Amino acid sequence: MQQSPSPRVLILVASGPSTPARCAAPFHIATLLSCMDAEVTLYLTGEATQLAHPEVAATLRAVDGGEPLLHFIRNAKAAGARLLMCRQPGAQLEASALIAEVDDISSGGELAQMILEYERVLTL
Amino acid sequence: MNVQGLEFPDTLRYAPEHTLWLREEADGSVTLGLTAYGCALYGQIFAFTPKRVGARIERDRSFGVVEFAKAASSARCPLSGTLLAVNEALLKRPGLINQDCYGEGWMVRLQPENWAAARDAFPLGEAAQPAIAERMRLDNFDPANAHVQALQWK
Repeated sequence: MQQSPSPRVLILVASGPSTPARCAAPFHIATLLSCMDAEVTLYLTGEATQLAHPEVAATLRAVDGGEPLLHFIRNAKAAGARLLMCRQPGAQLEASALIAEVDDISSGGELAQMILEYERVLTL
Repeated sequence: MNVQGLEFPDTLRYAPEHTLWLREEADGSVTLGLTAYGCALYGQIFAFTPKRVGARIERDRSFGVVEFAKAASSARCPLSGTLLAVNEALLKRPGLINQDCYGEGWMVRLQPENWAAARDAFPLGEAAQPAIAERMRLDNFDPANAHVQALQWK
């Protein structure tokens, strides 16, 4: 039997350390969408690129006493979501300085292509 | 049947890989629910969101999402078919799965695509014991520490 194609969902993560309460939701939604067989790509852009730094991911919490952001990132990855981050012009980014959960560093052009091709695009 | 202190009714069929039970209904449909082992792995369930009635589900694809403490997991279908019904009571009281996983906590009812051919893949009652025990062994299941394990379980 032929499998029906999974809908592709692109989640633009734009929130960062200045708004911690907003930072876990994109990853939790990505987990749920992946559990519903969607093909999910999380794309860290702008301030959200800081979330890929180990010291931020391990300490930033959406709620006091809650799990750190890395917990939500790992849940999303375990469910099958892909994690990309924006290559920031002029910034020297070493993959070894980022959390291991980042799959790739991507260009703005690749982001634009995904926006055109994916069935759903969310900004969270 | 009792495996590692967990009950598995002898009248049901089992899909140990999916931690689900199956019950063949008189009209040819099949009811699915989470086993006591699945409940032990997940711990307290906070939400169950099934796909819509009428959705065609392929084997090993998701028929819904189970949300539990700090995580979520796909409920993957052990056979292909069409969703005939979902347990509406779980939308408001997902804890029914924990309280009565073999009764009021049933999850969905499916019209299988070829039940006659698929049925033998799901052992009935006692015949499922070796596969359930093996699944627990592979999971390093510790009944005393089940909920903590659920958070690490894939």
